Amino acid sequence: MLFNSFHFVLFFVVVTSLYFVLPHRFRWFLLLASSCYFYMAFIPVYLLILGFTIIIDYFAGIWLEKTQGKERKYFLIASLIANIGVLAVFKYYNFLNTNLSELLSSIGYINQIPNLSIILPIGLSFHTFQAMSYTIEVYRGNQKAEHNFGIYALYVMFYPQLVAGPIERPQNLLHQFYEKHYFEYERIIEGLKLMLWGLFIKLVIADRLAIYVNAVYNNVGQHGGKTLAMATVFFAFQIYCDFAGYSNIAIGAAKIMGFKLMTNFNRPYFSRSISEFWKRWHISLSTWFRDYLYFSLGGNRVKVSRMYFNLFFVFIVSGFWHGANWTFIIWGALNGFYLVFAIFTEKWRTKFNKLIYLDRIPKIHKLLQILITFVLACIAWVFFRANTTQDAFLVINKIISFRGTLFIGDLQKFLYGITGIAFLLVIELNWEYDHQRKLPFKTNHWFKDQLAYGMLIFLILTVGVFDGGQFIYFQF
Amino acid sequence: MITKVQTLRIICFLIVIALADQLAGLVLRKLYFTQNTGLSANLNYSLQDCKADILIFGNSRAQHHYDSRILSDCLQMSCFNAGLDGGHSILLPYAQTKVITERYIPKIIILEFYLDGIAHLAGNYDRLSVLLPYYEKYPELHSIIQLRSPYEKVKLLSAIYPFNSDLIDIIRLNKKTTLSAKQDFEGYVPLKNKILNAGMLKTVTGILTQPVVDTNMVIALKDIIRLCKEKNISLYIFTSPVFHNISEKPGPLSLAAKQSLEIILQNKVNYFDFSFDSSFAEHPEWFDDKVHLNAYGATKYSQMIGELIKKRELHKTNLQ
Repeated sequence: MLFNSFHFVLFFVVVTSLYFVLPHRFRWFLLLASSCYFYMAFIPVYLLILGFTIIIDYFAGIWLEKTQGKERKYFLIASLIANIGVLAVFKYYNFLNTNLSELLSSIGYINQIPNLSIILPIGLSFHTFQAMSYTIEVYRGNQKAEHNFGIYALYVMFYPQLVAGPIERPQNLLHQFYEKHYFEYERIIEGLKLMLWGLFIKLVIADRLAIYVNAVYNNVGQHGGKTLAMATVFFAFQIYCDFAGYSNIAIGAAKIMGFKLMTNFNRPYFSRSISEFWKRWHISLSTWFRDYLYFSLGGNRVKVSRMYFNLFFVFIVSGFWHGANWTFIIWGALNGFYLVFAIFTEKWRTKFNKLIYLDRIPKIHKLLQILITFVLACIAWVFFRANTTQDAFLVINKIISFRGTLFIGDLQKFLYGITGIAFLLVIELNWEYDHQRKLPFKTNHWFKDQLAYGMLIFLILTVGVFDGGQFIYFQF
Repeated sequence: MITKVQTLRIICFLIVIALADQLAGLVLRKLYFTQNTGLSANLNYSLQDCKADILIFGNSRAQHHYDSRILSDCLQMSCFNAGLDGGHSILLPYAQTKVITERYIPKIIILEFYLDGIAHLAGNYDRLSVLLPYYEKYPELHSIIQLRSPYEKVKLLSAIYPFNSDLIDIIRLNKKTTLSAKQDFEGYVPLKNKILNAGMLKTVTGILTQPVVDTNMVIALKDIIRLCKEKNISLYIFTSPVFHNISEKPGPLSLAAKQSLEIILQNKVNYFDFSFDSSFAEHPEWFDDKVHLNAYGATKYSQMIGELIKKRELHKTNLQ
């Protein structure tokens, strides 16, 4: 069930209405049942896989709490193996097997192990990580084990964030299922506005840009450098609006019922460095990797060379998390390289900026930093979007040569794309200067406020793509 | 809890949205139906005004391959190319046939059709969005349009929704502000490019590998044939050429293709497959891309089928 479908609108209205009608003690059951229904709208049988990991982690949490000493580690390891095992089988098996086949054939052997014909369960990477964060936090003593199986299952399956995050932490989410939430007009209107904004950037901006991006990236050999550069920039905004749109809908839907989910995006294209970019982009995932992988490897409390390795390794794993393809691994590695390079060259860059007096013109300096960060992100996005590594390198080569005419295709669709990006930048620039704001529009008068959101509805109806475009991150 | 003022504000907001939707929809509807060029204008003309003796239906291959002027000259009858760019399925010609034959009876219908056209393809139903502006006026289109989704009826309560994605074109291609629309000749739109490097093209199998037959497409094909028989319209189904080398042969027929062929043969419909016709082999200069003829190729093709239809019609007349 996609967030941008009519089916979801009906589902959401029914579930939310029942939520406020039911007494508090039955609400967790309603949410769990509706989350099961939500997940089963994709491939019903995969609910069993989710059920399997929920059962393992539920008992692991309880035993972790009860046990002392070395045994605790074994329960944690068992839980992590179960979760990573499911991920490995469904997401990475065929990739690893195919690469093994290629490796063996290069030395004259044939790989007899067949590939599996299985479809990746939707949102597998997300709820797996959310489940893992629970057992790790219980192990670390930061979270008490949840003894109510239904509540624990709901923690993993809470439908607004089940299939594409934000990846929540037990400390933030679990206790909220015990709290009473009341019908509050202001909070509900805020939630609806957030959902509307999410729907707008998904349907009007992301899905519009996707038409051009797909036409170009699915035929990279036929297009020149200018077109590929344009498509890459379009993709940068497509993936942002797609993912941030989903997150906004998820956060808004949860907010209406009184749940507070973590912010997942914080206007990342206004970042002044790659380091800042990763504090603003997919925040729930980057903090997950920081807290559970980077810090476990020693973080930056180790030798400098080891710190560089830790950073690089974490980003490679992050790339791999996104997909079983070398393009994602290279994307992750590139981001890791950017970070390491930035830290390594920080002193020299500061000296250079002073030398050319750039530090004396802070606004220009800031603009340059934002542009450079955006360009670096776009170079990495080439690998994220390209169908194969060969395509990705071809795209990079062609962009560098910058030859050929600009392909426009359907003028109408092209104009929608450009206008959408311009509109988004205006709104977000305004938002960037008012960090306290939680919503895209802030006006002093109720009427102006309603006008702004009414305009969003009008734009969704006239320009939104209603052809059921799936969210990009659903494939992860 | 919610106060009276807040409730009033919500009600006011919803009423204003509904009114704005209806008003905007009215304006868009007016502008949509006064477009005088472009795809929507052609579709509109074919459904509402056209009275040509020969009609051509199909997707972009129909629109770019069949020169109405050549067919008109050859067959001494008026001809309109109602093909539509955009990878449409057979559901669009089906809709057009249903609506047009209620209004008048053409003498000949030419349907550009790939035998795999009854296979299920993602996007087939999405492309029916071109018919949304006609939902209100033509009840015979309801069953086809509702194939898009079970909630289509609800979405169509919005007056703006039928014109989704058309805003710029509606303004651009309107009577008073026509701007650089592709030139068409009685619906036929010639393509100007030619394939420069045939070696770069991947081998065209000519056959989709998707084996799943879509029953709605089967019904559409059968109904087009039935309607033409009932109303005594000569139906010609063609598969026009795709670019290929002389050595290339079509692959084995898929399940969908076999079923299409069976339907066509059982109903004794005039069917001609020129997809791998030898006279079009090794001529990249006749093609705009792998699957579309350019103006020169379309001229040759239209002349060829014009003669073919002429002979068939003459033979039919002689038999009668």
